[in-house]
Amino acid sequence: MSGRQDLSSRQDHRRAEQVDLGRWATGLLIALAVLVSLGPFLWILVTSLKSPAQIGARPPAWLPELDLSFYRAVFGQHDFGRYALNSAIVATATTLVAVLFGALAAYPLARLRMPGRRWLLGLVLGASMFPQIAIVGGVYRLLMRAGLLNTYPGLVLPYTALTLPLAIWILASFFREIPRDLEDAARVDGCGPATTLFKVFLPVAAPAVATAAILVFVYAWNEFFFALLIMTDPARQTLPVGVAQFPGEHEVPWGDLAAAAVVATLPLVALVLILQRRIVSGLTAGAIKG
Amino acid sequence: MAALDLKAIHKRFPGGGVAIEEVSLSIAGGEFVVLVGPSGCGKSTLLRIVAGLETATRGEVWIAGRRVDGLPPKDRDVAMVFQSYALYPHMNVFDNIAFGLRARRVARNEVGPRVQAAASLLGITALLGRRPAELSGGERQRVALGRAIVRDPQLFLFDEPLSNLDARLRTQMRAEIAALHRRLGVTTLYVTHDQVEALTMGQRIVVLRAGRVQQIGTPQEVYERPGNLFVAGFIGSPPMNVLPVRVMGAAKHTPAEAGVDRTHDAALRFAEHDLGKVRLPAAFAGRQLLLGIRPQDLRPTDEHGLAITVTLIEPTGGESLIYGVCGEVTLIARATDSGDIQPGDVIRLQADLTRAHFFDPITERRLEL
Repeated sequence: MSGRQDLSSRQDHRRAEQVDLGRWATGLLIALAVLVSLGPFLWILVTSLKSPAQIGARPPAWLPELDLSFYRAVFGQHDFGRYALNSAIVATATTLVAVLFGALAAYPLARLRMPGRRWLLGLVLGASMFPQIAIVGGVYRLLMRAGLLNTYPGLVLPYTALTLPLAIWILASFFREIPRDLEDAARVDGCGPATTLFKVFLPVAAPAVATAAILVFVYAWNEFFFALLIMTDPARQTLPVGVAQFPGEHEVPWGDLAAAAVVATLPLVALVLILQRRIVSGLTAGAIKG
Repeated sequence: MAALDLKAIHKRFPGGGVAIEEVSLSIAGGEFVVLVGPSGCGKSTLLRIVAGLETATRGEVWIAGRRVDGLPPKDRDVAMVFQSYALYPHMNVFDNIAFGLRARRVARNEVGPRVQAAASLLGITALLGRRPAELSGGERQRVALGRAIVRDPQLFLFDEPLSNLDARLRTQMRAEIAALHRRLGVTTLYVTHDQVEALTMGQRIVVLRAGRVQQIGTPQEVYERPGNLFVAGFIGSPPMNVLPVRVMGAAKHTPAEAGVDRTHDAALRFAEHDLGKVRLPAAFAGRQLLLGIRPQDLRPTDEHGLAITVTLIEPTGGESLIYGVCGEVTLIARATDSGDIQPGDVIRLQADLTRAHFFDPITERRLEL
């Protein structure tokens, strides 16, 4: 009797050990992944808070002296505010346009029974896979002819074109999950297709809208290639382009760059934090039975 | 002028299958009509065609004297209650109910009182601030009802609204909906697969099968004078027993005089068993017919009767259902007291042939005696 008890308790113990080991291993793996992802950013953050003396130190200084001189330089010596404003305008406009038209396109693609619908969706997604370098020449000439170089629409239009497929895809996938009964109820209650889309679909699809908005905004905010080519007027340049111009001919102001990078990333972090809760899709619970 | 008029509605699916075949129906103002039938019979499709959520391949839909089959749902002045409630999850109960009014641009100061009135009628005033996710099934169903009532439409359409409720709630809501109808008097088209709901709620019942109307009539008509074998078997629970019988009796009657049908007491034989005598027209002599007899008209007896081998006893509260086989046919009998009857016993059943129905074995139509 007691022998059997010993055996089972030993087995339990070993099993518990295995579980602990498994959890330890998982934890370690996660920590490693986080470190690899956030590592570069943490380093930049640390760098931005160093004193100028610490920058070139060998071996590298790990703990910053919490010196804000680089931040002051960013706003004082460079035209950071201007760049940030341009980025904000372009990114916001792109997000609004892409999400709006994305929703308008996603609704029929998700709902209407039309032949070739899946092909259309595939085509839309395929358009987003074009390497940018292949189209930039044509886009440039189009914008030049239209007189849109160095204007906000000149960036918003290509950005929208490049992010629209993604927005459509995200919104269409979510729309498809919305029960048809909800749509029918709206139709019988008195909504035309547009009202149904804006008053019923979009609110219910808020998680998808938030996700699409975040992705589009981040893309537009960080985009460098088109911005570099299309905005040559310093007054209109966006953050990535502006910050890339910090380095002079002879020296690279690492501290300034680090501070600029941190400041440029803050709005994105804020945006994600704000919209993060909406991405949790608990919204359709309760609308339909069960 | 009928409140709802369906003229030769025909619906074919894109795949080619026929969903609804030449259905015509006329509903008077204030009537409560139930569309009932097994799954897939087309009743929901028919309802959706009336609502405008689907279009018929052929046929016309008229609501209150106005032809509506070209109009979208919002212009038809109908309100619908869905099986899944279909409440807007991002709005609270008040906004859910008010949604239809606001979509139709009802004056702001009118929306509030109307919503309050509907809510108090359904007893959900306390729930107006809550979201659908916070409500129970029965409460959600009431909100769905409120959303329909507040619109004060020409026509109520119900699409199996009680199917998702537990049995007790279902019985309660059935009574409430019936009471609501008595109070509001709005023409109602109600779809269900539950024939009990149909019998208890409908003023008239439309029995559908595979897209075709089998019979239209009051609950009593449909129950006591089913038009064909399908209706007889579908309406009434447990279902009617059907046995093939042969009408005995001398076939050598003199031909009836024109217009005069002579009847005689004919003996019925089922397989090798004598079922008794029943008064039948002379023309039936020698024919093979289908006999339909409801379980409550088939009772265990100690006297002479049809012998069956019991396979199952189902006690249902006040009485018991006795399932048995006789030859290849399974029969169900109802007894107030099954006594000591056990599965495997051989018992005798007596049929009350005065309440029996006869069906033509080929057309399956009920024969009028």
